[in-house]
Amino acid sequence: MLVLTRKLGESIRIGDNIILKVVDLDSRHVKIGIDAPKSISVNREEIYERIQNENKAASSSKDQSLKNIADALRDNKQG
Amino acid sequence: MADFFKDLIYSNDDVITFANGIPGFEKNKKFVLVQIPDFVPFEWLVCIDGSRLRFAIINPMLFCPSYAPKIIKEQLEDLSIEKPEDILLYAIVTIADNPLSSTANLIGPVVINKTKRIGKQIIIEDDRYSTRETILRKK
Repeated sequence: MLVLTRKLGESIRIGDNIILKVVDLDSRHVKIGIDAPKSISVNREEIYERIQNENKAASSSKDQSLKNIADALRDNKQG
Repeated sequence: MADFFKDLIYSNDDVITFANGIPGFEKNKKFVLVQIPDFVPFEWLVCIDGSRLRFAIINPMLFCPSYAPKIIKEQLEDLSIEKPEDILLYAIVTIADNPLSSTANLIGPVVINKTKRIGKQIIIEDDRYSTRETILRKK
């Protein structure tokens, strides 16, 4: 991994159009400002991983058993 | 187990393109929406690239009527949405071992522009919701 040292207010440019800027920092936190094209989604890593993992869990779901909850949901609505 | 989706009939107009796939499945880009009567109100987002990938999905308003995700305008920019009627909003369902405890992912809603047939899963930063919201709620 490339590691660069930056001071408060300094930036890093990635490619032509992504800029990361150190906006604020204290002993435990760094606040980073991000300028990137709209087509690039920017997410906190742990949240992205949570979504990835949930998608993987959802994709291996058992199709048939969805009928049980579909029935229950319809009953719930009528009842 | 029978594969409900093996012999799907669809036209090119039915195909929804997820330009970046979805997180965890970045290479799967072409899907169709499938409704099967036995599974209503659930629907299926079925990948048509031969991978057998599919997701059970549900309109989150059906079980969480107050659902109001904080979506940033920029997150929808590449969907070229022109009017609210273009939008389909779904939550991906994880079927639990006990199906009645199944959950839906309310921080990763799937947004589809049904007019332009393009979609993406967006990630919202909203503490009120989680990836596993119980679908069947007690009255």
